[in-house]
Amino acid sequence: MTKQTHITPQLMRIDEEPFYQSVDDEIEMFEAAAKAGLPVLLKGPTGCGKTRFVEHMAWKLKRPLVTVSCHDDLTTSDLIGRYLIVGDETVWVDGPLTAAVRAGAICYLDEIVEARKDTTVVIHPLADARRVLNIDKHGEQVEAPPEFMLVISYNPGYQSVLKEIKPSTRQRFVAFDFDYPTAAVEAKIVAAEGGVSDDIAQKLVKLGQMTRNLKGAGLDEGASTRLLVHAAQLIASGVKPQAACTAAVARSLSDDPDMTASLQDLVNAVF
Amino acid sequence: MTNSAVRRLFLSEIELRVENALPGHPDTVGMQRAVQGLEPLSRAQQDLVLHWLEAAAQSSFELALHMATLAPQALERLDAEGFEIWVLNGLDMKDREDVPTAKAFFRDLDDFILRYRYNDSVATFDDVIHRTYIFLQAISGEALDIRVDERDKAWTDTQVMYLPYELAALPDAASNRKLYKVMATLLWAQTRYGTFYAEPGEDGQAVTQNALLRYGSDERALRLLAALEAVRLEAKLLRDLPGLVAEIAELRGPWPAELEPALPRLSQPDATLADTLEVLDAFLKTDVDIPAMVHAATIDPTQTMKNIRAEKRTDGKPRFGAQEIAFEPFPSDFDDGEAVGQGVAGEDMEPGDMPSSTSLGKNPVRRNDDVVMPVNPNTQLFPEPDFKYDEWDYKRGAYREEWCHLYEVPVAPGDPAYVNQVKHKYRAYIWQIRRQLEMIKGEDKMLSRQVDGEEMDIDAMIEHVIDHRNGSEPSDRLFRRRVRNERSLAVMFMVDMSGSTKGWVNNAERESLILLCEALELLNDNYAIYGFSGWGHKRCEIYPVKRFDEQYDDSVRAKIAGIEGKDFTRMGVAVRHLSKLLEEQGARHKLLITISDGYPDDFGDEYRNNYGIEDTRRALQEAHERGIRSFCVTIDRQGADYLPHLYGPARYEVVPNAYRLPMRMAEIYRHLTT
Repeated sequence: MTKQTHITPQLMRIDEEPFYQSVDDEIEMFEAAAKAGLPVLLKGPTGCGKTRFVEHMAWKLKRPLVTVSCHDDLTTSDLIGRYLIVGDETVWVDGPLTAAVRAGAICYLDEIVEARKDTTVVIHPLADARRVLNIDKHGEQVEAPPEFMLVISYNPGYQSVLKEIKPSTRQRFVAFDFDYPTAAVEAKIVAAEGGVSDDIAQKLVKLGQMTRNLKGAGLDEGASTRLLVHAAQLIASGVKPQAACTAAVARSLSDDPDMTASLQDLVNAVF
Repeated sequence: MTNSAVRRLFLSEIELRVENALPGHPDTVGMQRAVQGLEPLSRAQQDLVLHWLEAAAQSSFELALHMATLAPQALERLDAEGFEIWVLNGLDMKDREDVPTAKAFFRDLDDFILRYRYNDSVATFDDVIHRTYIFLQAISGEALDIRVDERDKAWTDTQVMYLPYELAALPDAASNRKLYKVMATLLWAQTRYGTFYAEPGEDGQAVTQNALLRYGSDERALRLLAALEAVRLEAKLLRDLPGLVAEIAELRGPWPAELEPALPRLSQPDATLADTLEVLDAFLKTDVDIPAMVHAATIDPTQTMKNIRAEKRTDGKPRFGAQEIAFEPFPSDFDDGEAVGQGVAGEDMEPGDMPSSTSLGKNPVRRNDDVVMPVNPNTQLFPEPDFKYDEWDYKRGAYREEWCHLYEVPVAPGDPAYVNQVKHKYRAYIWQIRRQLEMIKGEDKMLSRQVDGEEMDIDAMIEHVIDHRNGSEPSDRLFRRRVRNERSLAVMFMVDMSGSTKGWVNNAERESLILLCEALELLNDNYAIYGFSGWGHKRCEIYPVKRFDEQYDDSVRAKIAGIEGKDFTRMGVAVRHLSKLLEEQGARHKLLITISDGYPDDFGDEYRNNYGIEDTRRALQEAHERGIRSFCVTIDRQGADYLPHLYGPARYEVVPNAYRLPMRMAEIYRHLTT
C-alpha cells in the first residue's frame, strides 16, 4: 500500500454534565457493559431519553461521543469513510464510525432500523468478540481499543414490516429497555429540563399519560417526555400553558381533526 | 346551478330524469304527479330535487318518489341547505327504522321545520361520540362502551355508559356538545369514585350499592342523589382535571341555594358515597327539593343493580373505572381454571342452552354471543375436506394431527350496487387515502454507481480518478439513476366472518375492504382477501373473496358485498391455511392482517378461552417463523387484554367504534407498509 494522507475528524467531548434522571439500574448496567467491552442496544419509544442517556454516559465515562442518525440512504461509506481528492492527491477521510473506533469513543447509531440492511452488516465484526472494523477500500483492519463502545437504538413501537431489526444484528447486543418514566420521575425531569414549577410539571405529565392511553386507539404513540419538556420550555418562556400544550403536544401528535380536537379537550381539562 | 341564464327544465325532461332515477317503478301516477310538481320550480331547485331523488332512489324508490312529491312544498319553506338536511334525515330514518316511518317523517314538514330551526342549538350523540370516546379513553386508560339511551337519559350500569341521543338543554350547540363531555365524564366518575361501590370506611363498614336501592322509586330522592353526587364527583375530578371542573362549573352555573349546606362536606377530596347518603337522608327529612340539574347524570339504582347482579359479581365491583380491579396481565387470566371449565361445559350442551353469561363475569374477554344455533353440525356427516390442518393443544403440549377439516366455500355475490354506495359515501375519503398512498408509490429511489443515469455520481467519479491514478482499472459505473421504489410485498387480509359480526360490524368490515381495495389498486402490492368462520373442528370454512391472482373486478366487488356473518371464530386453522397461501407468494415482505371483532372462539370442544388463544398464538408463531408478519385490527374493546399475547405489543390496533374502522384501515395499512 502506498503511503496516503488520512484525515480523522476531531471528536467532541462532553464537558458539562448532561441532565439525566436515572430510572432503574441502567447507569450501573451501562458502566458494566462498557467495562466488559460489550455493545449495547437501547429499545424504547421516541423521546423517552435514550439519546440523553448516551450523552450522559459519555460524559460520565469521559469518552468522546459520535452520534449518527440513521436513514434509509445511509451507505457503508457514510459510516466508514471515503476517498476525496484534495488538490492533486487522494485523501482518505474517516467516517464517523472509523473515527470513533480509532479514538476509543462511544459510537451511537440512532434509529438503526432506518438504515439500509447492508449498511448494518458492517457493524457486525465490531459488535462481537473480534472488535475490529474492516475498511475494504484500502484493506485496513482497525482494531478497536478497549474504550470503544458501540451503542444502537431502535423503537419497537414502529409497526412497519419493512422496519425490523435483523436477529443476526440484535443478538450481538446487550439490550436495555427504555420506557417513559413513572409520573413522579417524569415530573422531576420536566420541571428540571423545562424550567417550570412542580405543579405545571405534574400537569404536563398527567396530560402525557392521558395521551399514552390513546396509543393504538388513534395515536401511534403518546406524547414523549421530550414533547412535554418542549411544552414546559414554551411555558417557561411566557406562553400560556394551554397554548403551549396545543402547539407542543396536541398538534404534534396528530393531523386528524377529530383527534386534535380531543387532544385539545384534554389540554383544557388538565389546565 | 344558480345561474339564472340556465332555463328551467321542461316537463318532458323532468319526466325522463325521474324515469331514469326510478327505472321500472310501477307507480306511474305518483311519478307523473311528482313531475308536475317539479315543473314550476326554478332550475336550481329542480336540479336540487332531481339530484336528491337520484340519491334517495339508491335506498328506496318508494321513499324517493314520496320525497320528490313533497319537495315543492318543502322548498317553499326551506333553503337548499335545509332541504338537504330534511332529505338526509328522512334517509337516515329509513336506515334506522323503515320506509313507512321515513315517509311519515317527510309528511310532517312542520315538525321538521320547528326542529330544524332549533337544530342550530342541538348537539347529537353522533356529533360528539368520537371526541368523547377519545377523551374518556385518555383519562381512564380504558376503551369504554358508550351507547345511546333509548329513554334519552344519561346513566350507567357500570358496564356501558348511556347518553341521550340529543341534547338541547343549553342555548347553543357548542355548549350542548360540552354538556355531553361533562355528562360522560361524570358517568365515568360515578364508577371510578364509588357511586356504586365503596371501599370500607375507617370503621370497616362498606356502604354497598344496595344502600342505593331504598331510594329506587323516590324521584325526589334520586334527583337529590344525582345532584349531591355531582357535587362530590366534581371535587374528586378537581385534582387531576381542574380545567374540566372549571368548564363544568361554567355550564351548571352556581349550585342551587338549597344545596349550599351540603357543599362543604361533599367538596372534601376524601368524601365518599357514605357522606352523600348521610347528607341525602338529612335532606329527605326536610321538604327541600331542587330542579334536576342539566349536567348531573341520572342515577338509576334499580337498573344499575340489575346489571351488576346479572354479571354475578358478588363483590359488586364495577367493571370499568375502578382501577383496583384492573385486569391481571394476560396469561394469568387465561390460566384461570374457571374459565377453562366453562369451555368444557359448552361441549355437552345442547344448542340453544348456551348460557349467555359464559363469556361474562370473571372472564376478561367478552363478546356478543348473539349467534343463532342451528343443529349441532358435529353430528352431521361431512364430505371429504379440502384441507386438513393440525391444531395445537396447549394442555397436551402437542399438536392434534389433522384435527381441523377445512373447506373452501365460495362467497355468494351480494348486491352489486353496494360497492357504489360505499364509494359514494366515502368519496372524499377515498380521494384522500389515494393521495396518501400515491405518496408512498411516488417515493423514488436513487441508485448510485449505474452504467447509465440522469446525473453524475460524484463518489464514483472520485473513485474512478483515484483508481486511474493508482493504476488499477477504473469502474465505468459513474451515474446515478432514479427508479421506482420496488415494494416487494404480499398482503393477506383475513376477515372474521363469525356470527358475532352480523350487522354493523359486518358492514364496517365490508366498507373497510372496499376502501382498501379502491386505494390498493394504486399500489402494485399483491393482496388477497379471505373470510373465515366455522363450526367445530370438523367444519372449518374459508371464503375466498379475492385470491392473489384475481383482479379487483366486479366479481370481487360483488363478493365483498356478499360477506356476511356465519358461525364461529376458529382462528388457528385459518391462520395456518392463509399463511400457507401467503408463503407461496414470492414477495420479500409478507403480511397477514386480521380484521376481527373478538378473540378466537368456537362452539364446544374447548376452543373457547385458553385453548383457542394458545392455538392461535401457536399458529401465528408458525407463520412468524416462516417470515410472515401478522397484525390484527379489532373492534373488540377488550382486545388490549389478549392481543399483545397473540400478536405482540405493537402488532395490533383496537378501533373501538366500528364506524371508524373503514377510515382507520387504510391508515393502518399505510403505517404497516411504509
